[in-house]
Amino acid sequence: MARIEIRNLRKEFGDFTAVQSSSFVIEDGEFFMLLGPSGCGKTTTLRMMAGLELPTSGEIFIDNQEVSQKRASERDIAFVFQMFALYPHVNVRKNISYPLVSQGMKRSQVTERVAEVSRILGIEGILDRPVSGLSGGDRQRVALARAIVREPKAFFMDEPLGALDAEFREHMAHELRSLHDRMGATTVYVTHDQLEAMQMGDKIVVMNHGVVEQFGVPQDIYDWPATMFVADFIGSPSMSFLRFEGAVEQGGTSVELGGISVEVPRLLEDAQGPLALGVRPEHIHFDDTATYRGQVIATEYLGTTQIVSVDTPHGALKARLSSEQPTRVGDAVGLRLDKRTLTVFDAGSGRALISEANREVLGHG
Amino acid sequence: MVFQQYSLYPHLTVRQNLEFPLKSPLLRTPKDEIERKVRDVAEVLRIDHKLDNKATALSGGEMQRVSIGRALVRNPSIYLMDEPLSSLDAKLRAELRIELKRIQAQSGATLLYVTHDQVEAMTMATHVGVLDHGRLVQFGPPREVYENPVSIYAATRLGQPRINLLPASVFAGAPEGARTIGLRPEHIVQGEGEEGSVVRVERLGDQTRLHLDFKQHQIITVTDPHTPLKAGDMVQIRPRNAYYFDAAGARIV
Repeated sequence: MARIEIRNLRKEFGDFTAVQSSSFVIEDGEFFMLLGPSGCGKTTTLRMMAGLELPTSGEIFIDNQEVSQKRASERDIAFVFQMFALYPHVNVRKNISYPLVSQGMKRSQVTERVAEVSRILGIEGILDRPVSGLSGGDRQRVALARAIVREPKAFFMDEPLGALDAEFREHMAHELRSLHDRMGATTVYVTHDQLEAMQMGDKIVVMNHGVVEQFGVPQDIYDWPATMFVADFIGSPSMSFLRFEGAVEQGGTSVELGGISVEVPRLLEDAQGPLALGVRPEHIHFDDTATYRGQVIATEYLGTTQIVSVDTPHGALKARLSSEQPTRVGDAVGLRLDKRTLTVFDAGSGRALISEANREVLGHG
Repeated sequence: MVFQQYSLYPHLTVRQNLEFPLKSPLLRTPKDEIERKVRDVAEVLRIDHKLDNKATALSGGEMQRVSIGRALVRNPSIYLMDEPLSSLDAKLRAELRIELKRIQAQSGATLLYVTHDQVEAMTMATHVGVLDHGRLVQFGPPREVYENPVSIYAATRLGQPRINLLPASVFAGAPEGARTIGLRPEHIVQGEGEEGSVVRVERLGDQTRLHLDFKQHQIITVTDPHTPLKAGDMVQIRPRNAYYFDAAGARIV
């Protein structure tokens, strides 16, 4: 059980700044995701929290105790790596009991703990098997059991499902999440897979180039992205952008796209120059009476829904429509954008303009 | 043929790899046409800036695009592709799905494509053949396979989240001989019927999945992204458009 707080954490490797100045809070018992593309600094951040890397500057608090300069062994956390490293020469039981035996725990107590943990993970049946013959899933469960058995304050996981195939990953993701729901231990989880982050996380930090782009609950990040990077990284398909040159004013409720006015949530700041109107696929509707128009360039059937790519004078859009709706490549269509859900971005900086709709999520500061 | 494991000529550049099939003495392709074709294909696959790189000095995704490109330059009448996109990252995969489909539609060539990825099968194909242990169990347009599966196996191949399978007796109204009821997540009406409890609410942004415990069975359904429901809440559900299957797993129509 632990609350973890990161303040202005920074890491430089020579000239390269891996993490710029990260700050966020992980509440006790949260399943917390560090999400971003490769090279964004998420793993470095996790390794600093674990004590495997020393920060250049900044502070890390675990349960209000500053630990940034402490050794990993003094932090009482457990780390699960992408490549689950088991001891290949001993059996499953010995792999799991090792951390306890090395702490000098009494034999009877070790047996009890191992039994309990293997019951939680459903691996009682393989305790006496050598680890070399195990399936990928069982190896993963053994690695988890070894992390859990110590009852650490927090679990740190670095892409633990990265090496598994899609179907099995989904299965293990559910297993991990329900394990967390039963145990309630603070878990910090690194992934580059946005769906995994959305599915499993209570909160997400989105990182890019060593910078925290946004921090919050999954639905807020999806609905009200702070930057164009976040908007583009989250969602499948991701948010589409209509790019235009223009100016908007504080209090404005529309933007001009090639002479056509499109309603947006009331803006609370001015901006001019290159701008972008961001819209999620499910908020685009085909409507013959709409004045903003485009042409269908591709359709993709997905069962209940279809993804329709539409070319417009301001860039391509992807719309998620019901499969019942007939669409053909080449069709000219009117586009109605759900005005309550739109975000206007400063395309130069990539930052979302604050509006009445996203004010609560993005706030100030 | 495009393989899952790209095999490029490691000592040649990207351009030379792409040119190679056209330089066959049998084809006698004029030089300027070779150049044009290579450039076109490289542009479509977004590797035009890497044409002079050694084939080994590329990322995995780029190598795979070169190997797709090498098949495309020849304009054959049949393309055979074995999971060509599975080693690419999600974003690029989504883009190349559309590109490959466009290339196929434009050239009119036949494309036989092997995949385990149902999204690729649904979005790209004119027809899907579902294979089960070496037997072709269903063949038809993706929509037909999705909306009218012949068996439990075919029904579980397509659809994300996967179709819910429960004993037919869980709901009233099963036809005679039905052992299993199959309910796609979107074929569950909420707010009427019998009660189940919410185990977990999974918010994916564009949709929210509800994991329900219904008479001791697990059911996954989709609901409004901003649903106020939370774990522990009770919700009434009723099937709509259910599929029924017999003891052997075959569809009962």
